[in-house]
Amino acid sequence: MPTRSEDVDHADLEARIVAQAPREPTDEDVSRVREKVSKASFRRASVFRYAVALVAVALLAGVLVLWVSGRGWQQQSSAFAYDMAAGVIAPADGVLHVVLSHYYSNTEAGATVEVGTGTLADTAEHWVDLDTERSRVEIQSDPEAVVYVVVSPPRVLSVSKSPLDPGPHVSETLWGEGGTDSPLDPIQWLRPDWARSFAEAMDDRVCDVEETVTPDGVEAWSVTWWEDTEMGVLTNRALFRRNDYRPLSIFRRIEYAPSEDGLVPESEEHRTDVDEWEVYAPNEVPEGTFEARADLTDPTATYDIWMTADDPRLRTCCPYAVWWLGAESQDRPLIMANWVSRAPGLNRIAQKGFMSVRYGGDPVSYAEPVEDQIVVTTYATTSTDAIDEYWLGNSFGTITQGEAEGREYRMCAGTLPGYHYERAKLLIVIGKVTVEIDAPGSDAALAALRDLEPL
Amino acid sequence: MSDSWFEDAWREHSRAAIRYCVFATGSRDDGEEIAAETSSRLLGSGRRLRPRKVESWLFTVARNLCVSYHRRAGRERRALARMTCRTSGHEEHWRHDVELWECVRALDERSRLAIYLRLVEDRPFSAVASTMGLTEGAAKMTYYRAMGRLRNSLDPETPRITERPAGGANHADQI
Repeated sequence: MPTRSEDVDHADLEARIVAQAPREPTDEDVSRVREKVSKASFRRASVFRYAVALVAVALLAGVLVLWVSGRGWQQQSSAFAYDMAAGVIAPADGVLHVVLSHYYSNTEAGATVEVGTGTLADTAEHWVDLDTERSRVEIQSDPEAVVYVVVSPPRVLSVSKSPLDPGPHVSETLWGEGGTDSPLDPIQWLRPDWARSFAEAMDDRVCDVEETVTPDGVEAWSVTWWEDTEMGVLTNRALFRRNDYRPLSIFRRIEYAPSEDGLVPESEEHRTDVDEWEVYAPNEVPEGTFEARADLTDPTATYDIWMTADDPRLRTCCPYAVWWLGAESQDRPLIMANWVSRAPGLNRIAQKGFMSVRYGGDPVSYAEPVEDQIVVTTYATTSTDAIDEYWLGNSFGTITQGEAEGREYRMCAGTLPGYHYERAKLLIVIGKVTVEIDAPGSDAALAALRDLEPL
Repeated sequence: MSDSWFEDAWREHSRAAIRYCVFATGSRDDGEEIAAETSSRLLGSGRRLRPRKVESWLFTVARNLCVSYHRRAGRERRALARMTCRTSGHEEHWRHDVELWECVRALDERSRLAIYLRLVEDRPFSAVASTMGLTEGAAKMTYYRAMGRLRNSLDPETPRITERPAGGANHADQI
């Protein structure tokens, strides 16, 4: 196992656990368990058959009793149907549309807060299509502050608008293994933690269920469950309308463990009112709801767009000349590209924007170039100060200078601290842009320099 | 049993699932029962999960069943202790380090799973995160907190690791 700095303190304990770990299951163990699976499945099927038979008998008996008594049949369930509640929360068919209002309050030491007196923190509108794993959530915390996220495989679009910014921040990433977003789980669509704990509580039947009537006179089920977490004890309560299990509200109270520095309130309360809860047929969903491809025409927006090699916007998004190595370079295919329209928070060379094209390597790696990857980045600046500042902070190893077609370049090559493989970085000014080549070694960087061409 | 997707899932994930259940229960018999029940649920559900989701699904169900197992086992141990004035016994593969097992058993199931995947399966945190349905950062946090708790339980003299969200109210999971 690799040794990390975090691991060092626990190395003895880790070794102790590994020493007591159960052995790898043998073929015999696996066969034995497999036989149990077969038996359990048979039992399950048998139980199902008996259950169907029992239900049929019970229905017949019920009809007989009703007929004898002459009373009409009333649907009066005296038990909470866990499966039905789970089915309403994660419908198998259709697209769920939900509007929620979230209220939040916290107590100072000793103070008491009535449920529902908290201030409105945000409203959220969700669209969830479990069948296609697409979702959209739009959260409004202020009349002018909106965030929305659309997950539409293989893309994730995130847009945030704040009155403090000149325009929206638009980010489009690619979804997949190693990407920044997790796949949508059938029951984790609202706020993952409570939904997950709710699912577990339902599965284990460890919740308290009571019949209740809301202040509006709606007959409801009140379902309460608890979690004992690192930060404290969480009490959760969800109200479901009694006749159809439509969720009405969700309440969550967090009792914090005592805090020494006073920064953490003693408790927090969250209440979410379910303003709308409806299931749409897929063809009834408003057009564009799940569109995760950003519209790149807003001049006030800041864009951070990751594109696949076949994305037509690759050639049109950048307002300045971009350099690349063609559809492939040195047996590495073009995997993905990243266009950032401006980056005021990054180093000066990147502030007016840049476009990176990546050849080879992990298709969904947003981090530093991986071992065998070649990355060509075109920066929209030729400012000597910005380039020198960048070079000073990013050069390493052996530094050389050279000339290509009358243009000077500088290159550094070697093994970066913390890495076990060689990289080379080359910078050259071409026209009104600066091009950076990041490659596995100086030979690969110089070969890429020879192959440079306008996109 | 003719579902080929189940056969594929079984071939690929059964060993890790069985080993986890044995690790988490401390008993080969009970662990195998839970692993069988988990796989049976997968087969019985009729859900054709995407291949990359199967492992996460299996471990989630196995984890839930282990939670129920420990609740039930705890009740039985207490009843047994009342009747026979005995303390709880140790389990098979932990028999050479009973003290450690008592501390591991006191952990919550999520922590046990994180420790199992990281240490016994020797998986990188990215894989631990993927299997547990967490971000890599959350997986690391879960693992190191679990190890911290374990160390504190084994050696109460060691200064306790503060377990509190860094920051204030906004770090709580909002509804």
